Amino acid sequence: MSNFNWPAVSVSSGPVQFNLNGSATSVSKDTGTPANSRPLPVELIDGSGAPYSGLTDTQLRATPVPVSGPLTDTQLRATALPVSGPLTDTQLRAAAVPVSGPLTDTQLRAAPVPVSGTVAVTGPLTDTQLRATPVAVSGPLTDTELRATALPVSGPLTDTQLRATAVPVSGPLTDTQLRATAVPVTVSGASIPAATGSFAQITNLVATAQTLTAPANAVGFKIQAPSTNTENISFSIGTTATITAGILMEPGRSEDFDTGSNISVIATSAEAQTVNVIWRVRP
Amino acid sequence: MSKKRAVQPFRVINEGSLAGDITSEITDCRYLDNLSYQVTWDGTAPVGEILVQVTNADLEDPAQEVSAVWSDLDFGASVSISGNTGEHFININQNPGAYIRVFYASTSGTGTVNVAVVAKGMGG
Repeated sequence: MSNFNWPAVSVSSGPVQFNLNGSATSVSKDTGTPANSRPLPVELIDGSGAPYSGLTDTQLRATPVPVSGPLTDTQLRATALPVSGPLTDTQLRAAAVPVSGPLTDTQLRAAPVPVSGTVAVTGPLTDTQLRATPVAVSGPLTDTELRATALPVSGPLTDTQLRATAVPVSGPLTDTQLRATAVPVTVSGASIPAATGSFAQITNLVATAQTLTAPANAVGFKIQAPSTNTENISFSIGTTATITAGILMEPGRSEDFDTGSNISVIATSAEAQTVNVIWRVRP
Repeated sequence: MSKKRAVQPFRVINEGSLAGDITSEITDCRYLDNLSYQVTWDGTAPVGEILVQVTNADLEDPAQEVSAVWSDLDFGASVSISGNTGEHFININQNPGAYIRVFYASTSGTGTVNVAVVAKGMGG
């Protein structure tokens, strides 16, 4: 039921007042000096009259209100909230963003990451797949740097494959430097011609050295002191024979040597002696 | 001996239809000071407004009765009829007008309304 009165009663009241720390205080708003404003205190209480300590989302609003943006960082959160990970790709971004390059090293990673692990290479790879720009080999390289396992040379190799510029052999070479294993001399075609002899004799050999000169191509000699000699003779090769330095040959003795050198002869007495030499000459 | 004038409870609208406008019986209050109307209704979603109107026209003169101007009293709020059932009590204190009546302005709905008047004079 409603009551209506005529004349209508109009009540004019003064400003709303409340008790502020024991003093009656009028509600006011001072836009010039906001600190002077005295708003009406409001307290939310629940059904039992107890103040709300914290409102739930439903107590604040029945239906969530979508945030309309754009919002500043401060409107979103007073203090920056560090991202705690690990984050999934979807948490980072709904749709993948292709990397557009070229990227600097710092854009890729703050600190360089050493390459680790092994990646099987499937080939064959082109030079460009291996390296954009060819890298000159700088030496000197060790055998292992060049190849893990020695690669036997398969021949026959040409002189150019062995060495760009011919290298003259500098001697004298030992037999081993020439060849590890001796190779018997074989001659293809005609046989080795037989050696010929060349006779030389001194019949007035006394205590003064004389020289029997070897002919050209001499490869050896036989020297004889005839049995008709009455004294010994002495001979030497490569040096002047003396009575005391040389090979002594008694009368009737002969010796063979495989050398084509000159022979120095001398008798051990003043009486003339004879010495015979047959040189073996290879044509 | 003083005599107190009064109008005994009387239905100025008796079983009126809320489907349309209703003009009540006129109460002569030339010698009355205080009046009250009790409005009760029962219907189906009636919507409308009760107006209490006064006039100083001389209704005893047939010419003035026809051309009488009825002014609405201001109660500070609309005396509305809404809801299927309800009641209002309208208190008029020291009415200076000569004649008074109730007018129902119907907006929608149906039902029945009764308006009863009581009037009292002060002093004698």
